[in-house]
Amino acid sequence: MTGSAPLPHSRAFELLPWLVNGTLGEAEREAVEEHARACITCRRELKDQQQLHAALRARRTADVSAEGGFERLDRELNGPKPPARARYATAARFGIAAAAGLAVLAVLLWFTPLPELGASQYSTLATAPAESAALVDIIFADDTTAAEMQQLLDDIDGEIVAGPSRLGRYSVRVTGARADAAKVGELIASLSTDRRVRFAGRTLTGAAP
Amino acid sequence: MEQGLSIRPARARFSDDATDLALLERIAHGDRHALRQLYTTYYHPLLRFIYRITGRLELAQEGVNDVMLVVWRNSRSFGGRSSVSTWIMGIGYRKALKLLAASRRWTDRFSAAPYDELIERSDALAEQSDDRDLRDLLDAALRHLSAEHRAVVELTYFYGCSYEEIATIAACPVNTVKTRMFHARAKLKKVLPSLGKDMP
Repeated sequence: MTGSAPLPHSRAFELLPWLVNGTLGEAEREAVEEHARACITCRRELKDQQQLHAALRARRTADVSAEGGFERLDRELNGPKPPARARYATAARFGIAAAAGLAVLAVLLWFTPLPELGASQYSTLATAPAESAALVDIIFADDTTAAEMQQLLDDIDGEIVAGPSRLGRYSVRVTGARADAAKVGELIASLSTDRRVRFAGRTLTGAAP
Repeated sequence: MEQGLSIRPARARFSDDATDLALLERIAHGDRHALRQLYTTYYHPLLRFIYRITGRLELAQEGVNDVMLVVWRNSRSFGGRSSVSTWIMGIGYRKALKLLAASRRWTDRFSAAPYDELIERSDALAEQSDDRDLRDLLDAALRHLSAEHRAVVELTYFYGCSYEEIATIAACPVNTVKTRMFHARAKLKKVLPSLGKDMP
């Protein structure tokens, strides 16, 4: 006996998984065990949870070496280029500046002719861009929900054709009036100020998906 | 006490907090060898955890490096309010949910088999007790849980976390952890034939 008030059934029942994995504190463990001794429902459940515990622990983990993963991380930390996120932060600033017509460099970065996308460059998930379509790169804000992403795509007549990249970058094919070369800059400027978007820019030639 | 209640499993720990803290201290000073050591320690736990949430190995591999990049950059800001492993798994949890949300629009992997169909399969398997089939069924059943529920089950039973630790990892109240586990158990119970029928 613990000497403390008996644990209600519902509380004991919900704590059974942590009795099974051995992480309950001493007092809580004793109280759950005391309840279970008198409760056939909890004893059955305890057996079930022990089986689930055993089954989950028996599942194997993917046999993948950590070495290759660390080498990729090490290359990213060592690389001549600045960290990827910094590159995008810089690019985003350039994109906004270009939208305001302030930076020549931004023009060089973002207003290059649209690349022809080869299968080797993009893991295309839809058909190739149709005529009068433009490709725009978008990184959504961290708190943008899937529904908001879809709404934004609907708003711009856009369709995701590739991504997300490791950084969360999507390539979006825009059709309709906004795909016109003269309008794409306006679209990017508009996207750059949209709270749902962290970054927007013209798809760059040779960019990794 | 009845024999069936004698449950004192050794907690499944893949790291030692004192060692992790020492590594984190060195990482804060730019020690790449310490980063490699910590990476090696956490690679498989993180890979499995993120894989269990996202269901995609390539996302899990990507997620591990994202997490360790955060560790590299933010090691100085680790406040010691939790163990290093809880801190790192918390970063992994958030990364996994983010990766899953980003991939979900066109990946419908988690609804490959309707839930009712799984229950029918489980009834058929109940009399066969084929371990491999049951493992497959368990995997399928887990995929039908929400990512948040799946994470609680995995953290409890594979990683041996207390409900307080899970609350820290998932940044939610402990009662939310208990509720998620309760609902996950109820749903798994419908699918897995070996699990009993009693619920309060």
